[in-house]
Amino acid sequence: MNKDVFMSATIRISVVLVALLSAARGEAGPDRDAAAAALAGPLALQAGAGAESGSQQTWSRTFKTGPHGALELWNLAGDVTVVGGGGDSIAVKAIKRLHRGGGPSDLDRIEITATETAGRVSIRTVFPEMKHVSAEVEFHVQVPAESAVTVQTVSGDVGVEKVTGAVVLESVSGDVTVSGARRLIRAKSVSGDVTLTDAAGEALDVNSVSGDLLLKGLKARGCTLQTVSGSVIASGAACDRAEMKSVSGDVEYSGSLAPGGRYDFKSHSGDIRLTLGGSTGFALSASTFSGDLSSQLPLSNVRESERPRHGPRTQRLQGTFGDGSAQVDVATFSGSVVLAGGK
Amino acid sequence: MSCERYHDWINASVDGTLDSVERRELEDHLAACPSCAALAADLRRLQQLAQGLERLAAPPSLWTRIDRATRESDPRRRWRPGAMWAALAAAAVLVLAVASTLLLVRDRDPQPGTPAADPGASSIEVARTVEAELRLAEQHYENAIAGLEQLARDRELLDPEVAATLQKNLQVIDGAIAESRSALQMQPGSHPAQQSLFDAFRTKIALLEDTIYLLSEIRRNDQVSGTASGTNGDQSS
Amino acid sequence: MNAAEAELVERCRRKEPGAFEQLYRDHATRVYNLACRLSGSPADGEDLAQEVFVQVYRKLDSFRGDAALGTWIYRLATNLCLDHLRRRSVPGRETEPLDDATPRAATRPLSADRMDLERAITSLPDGYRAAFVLHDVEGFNHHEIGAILGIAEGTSKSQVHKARLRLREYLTRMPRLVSPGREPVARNGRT
Repeated sequence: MNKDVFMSATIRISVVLVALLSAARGEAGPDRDAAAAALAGPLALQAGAGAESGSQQTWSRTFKTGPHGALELWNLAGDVTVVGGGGDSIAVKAIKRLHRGGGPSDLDRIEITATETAGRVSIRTVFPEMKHVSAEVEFHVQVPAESAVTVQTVSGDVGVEKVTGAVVLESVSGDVTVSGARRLIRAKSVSGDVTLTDAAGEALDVNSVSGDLLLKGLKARGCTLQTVSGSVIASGAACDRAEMKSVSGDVEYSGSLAPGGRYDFKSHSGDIRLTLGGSTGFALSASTFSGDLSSQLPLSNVRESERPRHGPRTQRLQGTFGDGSAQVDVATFSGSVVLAGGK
Repeated sequence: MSCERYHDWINASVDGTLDSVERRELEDHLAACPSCAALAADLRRLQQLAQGLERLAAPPSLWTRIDRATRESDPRRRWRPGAMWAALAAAAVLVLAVASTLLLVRDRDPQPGTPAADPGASSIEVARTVEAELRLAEQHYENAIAGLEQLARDRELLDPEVAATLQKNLQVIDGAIAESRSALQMQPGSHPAQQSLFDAFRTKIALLEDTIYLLSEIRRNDQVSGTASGTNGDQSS
Repeated sequence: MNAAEAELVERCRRKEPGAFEQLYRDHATRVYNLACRLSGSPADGEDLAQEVFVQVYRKLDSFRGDAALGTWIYRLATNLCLDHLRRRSVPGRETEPLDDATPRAATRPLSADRMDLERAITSLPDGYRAAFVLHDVEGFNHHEIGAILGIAEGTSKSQVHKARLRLREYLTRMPRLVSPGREPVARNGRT
């Protein structure tokens, strides 16, 4: 088969899938419920729902990789859940599922290629051209906690939990959810949300185009949280360097700062709300071209631009809190800037 | 000038490579020669400043980009987006370089609370030159962006909803660019407006590049994987 | 090249997961700072630093080990940055020094801040800029700089010296664009 046929096959499947997924999302988070069930008992999943049926097929493989192996998974459609634990094997369970139309022969044609070389497991799904059929492959993977994990999906949520090896996650329309990561490198989606809980790493790249970035508890040398039209809502980031940016969305940060850290908060038309707690001192530089700027931070060495009666409305505020060891830069174009001190 | 030979020694003393005899002779000379003493003081101050220059931290996005690029360069899975892409990427780099140089040079933003910058002839000239350079940078950006947009339009690999999301967000960024631009027209000297404009440009280029990377990843993975090497693991279902 | 470096290079060649990232972490800050200061801008610096490490990745197989890994990497980095500068050739920026001006008596003592110095560095001709950044900013000695730039140790000394004189000239003659009453805002508790 030539390239064009494959490409048009992908379009057709994607179109149908997305239409169905959008409909499914209208209900109360079916994807999340499925993920929660999977985390609670993957074994139960195998024992109970492993039934082959006309609309479902299971597939599983186990690879002995040692405690420091690597998983690379590409999935066109379907959620992927990875959980870190003990042992020295990567156990992959996949459920091929039909959403509409088709039968077992179509399921057979959905190919899951899995290879392992020197502790590196590479898994890929290949969907053939199928007329009037929509399908997905749902993955549940258990890995030794220190494995490196890379997952890329087009339409499918990605959930990774308790993996302390290097983690790279990319989705196009799925949500990306990570918790308990120690070496997160990248978590990206185009239209999905990215949610990180208790993540740590060296240099984190967290990105969505239209989705929100939600962060609770982050420890990193440097992190970039960037979205175009989504919001960035973060709390408790202890970073040497953090950049949180949106173009039209809001940026909210609450929590303490790392001493000597550099924090950059930017939005073009969204609002920026900072609630800075803790005892770390910081030097603040805040500006907005035409928005409103209000601060309740207890600052010294304050320099503000006056609001003139006519002419440019640009507002600026600079000041120091405590020993001024951290550096906080806040800038919007037209969004408001609201600065408050926390407990 | 007889002082000439001491200039080498002054530099060496900043390097810390003079022996004790030379050092004493230099000190004697500095006591007697104000211009050399001034030079020595200045060079020491210079070195202090240089050693105290900000230690920039490599941004997290740097590793991300390297990680990606090295994966792509793995001969086992290579997809060449073509010469045009490389040329555009280079154009984007050039554009960013010009713009960032401008920002570096012009970071003389009057601090709030101080009297307005001296409205002498020299600063007006600076403002005019800056505007001209700004316009040039914008032109470069626009060319690079137009090219990237063309490539990104090859979106048949993406389903309509994702394509629509990307389109809508590009429009959001375009809105930010337009607003910043008209603000700059009213107030060419405004640092926040300049910053906004360049930030928006950079965000747009990043989004276009990400889109192209995304397309390349999808295309790469859609190709039939040839003979799989390595083990296939244990079946257990 | 010492044993630890040799082991890391070997692990990278075997494409062991995480090995190249470790190599990157070991040298990222220095390469990034070099790239920013040689090229004159942080955005440029990031792109160049990316190119450096991608080239390191590709050329690692052919790295002989006759020089220290760091020296090899910084040589790659400096060459890339200088090539980039040459290709850019912004009009008005000299690539070769016009003359080696003897230092004139300064009009007033040098009182510049870090921002001023960063700008002044970008005004230096390429060769001087590289030598100065490597020596006075990054702390390499003339012998190491010779290895990195492929020049004699004496040439490195002379380039650094000339660079300093130029910078001094630039900084003492720099026009003040802001009213003299301005004080730099306190950052990190230092002025």
